[in-house]
Amino acid sequence: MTQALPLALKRSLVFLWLVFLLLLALVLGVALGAVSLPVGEVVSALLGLKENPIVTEMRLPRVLGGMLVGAALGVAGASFQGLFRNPLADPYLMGSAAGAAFAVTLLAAFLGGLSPAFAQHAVFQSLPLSATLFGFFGALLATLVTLVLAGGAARTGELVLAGVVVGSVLTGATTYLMLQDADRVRAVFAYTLGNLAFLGWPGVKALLLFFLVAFPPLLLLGRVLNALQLGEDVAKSLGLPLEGLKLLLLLAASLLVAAAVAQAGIIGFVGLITPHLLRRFLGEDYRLLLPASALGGAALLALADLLARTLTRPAELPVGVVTTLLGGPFFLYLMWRRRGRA
Amino acid sequence: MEGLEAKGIVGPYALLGVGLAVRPGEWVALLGPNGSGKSTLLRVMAGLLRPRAGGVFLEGKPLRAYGSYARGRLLAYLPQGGPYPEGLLVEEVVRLGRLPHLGLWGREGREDVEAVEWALEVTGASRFRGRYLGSLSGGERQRVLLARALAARPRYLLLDEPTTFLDLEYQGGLLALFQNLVAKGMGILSVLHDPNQAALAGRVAVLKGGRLLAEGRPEAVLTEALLQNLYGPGVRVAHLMGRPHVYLDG
Repeated sequence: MTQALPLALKRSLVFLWLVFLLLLALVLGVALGAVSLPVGEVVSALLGLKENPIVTEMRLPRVLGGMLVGAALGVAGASFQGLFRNPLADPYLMGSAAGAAFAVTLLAAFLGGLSPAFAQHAVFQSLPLSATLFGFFGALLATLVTLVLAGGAARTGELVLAGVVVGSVLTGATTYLMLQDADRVRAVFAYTLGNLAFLGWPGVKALLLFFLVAFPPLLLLGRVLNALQLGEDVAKSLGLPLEGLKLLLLLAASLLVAAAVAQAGIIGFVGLITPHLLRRFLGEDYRLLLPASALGGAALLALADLLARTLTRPAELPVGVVTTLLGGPFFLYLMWRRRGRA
Repeated sequence: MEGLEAKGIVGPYALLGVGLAVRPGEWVALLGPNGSGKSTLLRVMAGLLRPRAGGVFLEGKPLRAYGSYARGRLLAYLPQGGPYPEGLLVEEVVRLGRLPHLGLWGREGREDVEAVEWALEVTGASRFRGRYLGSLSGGERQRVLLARALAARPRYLLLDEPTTFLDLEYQGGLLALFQNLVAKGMGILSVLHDPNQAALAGRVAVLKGGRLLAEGRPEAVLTEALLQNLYGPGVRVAHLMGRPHVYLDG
């Protein structure tokens, strides 16, 4: 028992630190951009003391929406990793994000032509709910195909390979759909690369809705994810109705991926890196790791978007480019370390 | 009829019609060469594999008639090797053993805490309760995983090679623990590959090629003829203090 207290303290500090990081990202995210605002003005606008349309209509939905996308990806990543007992499972690497993107693009293509929809982002403004639901089936289907190709989730190499294949094929198909109107390729491309620039209040509301639907069940199943780490036989022998629970976990995580992709395109590596970084401090108790991944993913993506908006000011980079540029090397580092241990 | 009983198990994999029973207060060791179907039979009796023919009965009722949590409260299963949660604290791992009593969302009560404490204590795992499972040695880890199985306070314990990774001291401790648990009324069925460990059990069942070759008290079953049939002509049996001791003639 002597060790329990410092550990509990350490874990609480991790959560406090995450909340602090999130608030910092919120204030900086609203303050910085093409035009910088003084921090005092930002804080009073955020607290509703002073009206500032740049804050409330432009930056706030983008920052909050970005945080929700990051939270969704962080939680989905942690859930996939726990569900498949594979630390490299991730919505991006398993093709489920590409599946969602393909389904959303397909929906946009069928709804009265592709180009006007993307030019004004009308699909995402007016139909965020149906876009997410459509993306949900895309994500689910892509995940299942990846799992079938990999022959289950046990072998990391096969899983990553199958995910890359499924992701590439679906991304190719998405690109083909988008190229049907070459004039708009630039705007469309920015979406596939992962971009928070399209986010407005309707998108934020949609994200919040789906997050509130999918996150609580995952959180409640944290104990199941813990038990799954003992292997499926043991989890079953403990009485858990595993088939149904695994499906529920897969559905909830896919819904989060779809919600994120429908609003912001494919943003890689947030779902992989966030739980990984947090495991170092929190271990692998999913009852802690899932909420921490929500906070951490939110902060990570908001900070990445800050870089995306300021690195090439006044122009912007798609945030997916930033996360991939930072996340790719990190992924290689993880692979290298795993090989070192094996 | 009290006990966990497999009757006429055919398939999956190698099993060609096997019957085996464990009674409360009895330790049965399942012995046999690699690929003889020991682990498969254990998984069938744990309700994890469905046989092509035959059935498993728990206290006289078909095992399948039990709800999964009810089954989990009566039977605990510990596989050989298999994955384990490196990043969970030892205490958390052992607490997972209470899932059959708690279900998905039950809150831990006094009884649960006591069972976890007891399991940590008897396996000698309480010393590292606050450490991550991944930081332990193979032998320490094996004791934690056994504590997880015991934490359910099951009536029957199904163990696949539980002494793997344990050094001689802890092998001895574990086998003494089995005798202790059995004396308190638990039924234990353990797959073992070492005939000398099996000799400590109350009863030995020998499996070869998916069939039950012999069954009975260790001194009656573990004969030189049977062991040579299992493991080849170099095997010898000596008797020390009334118990068979198996060695290889070099």
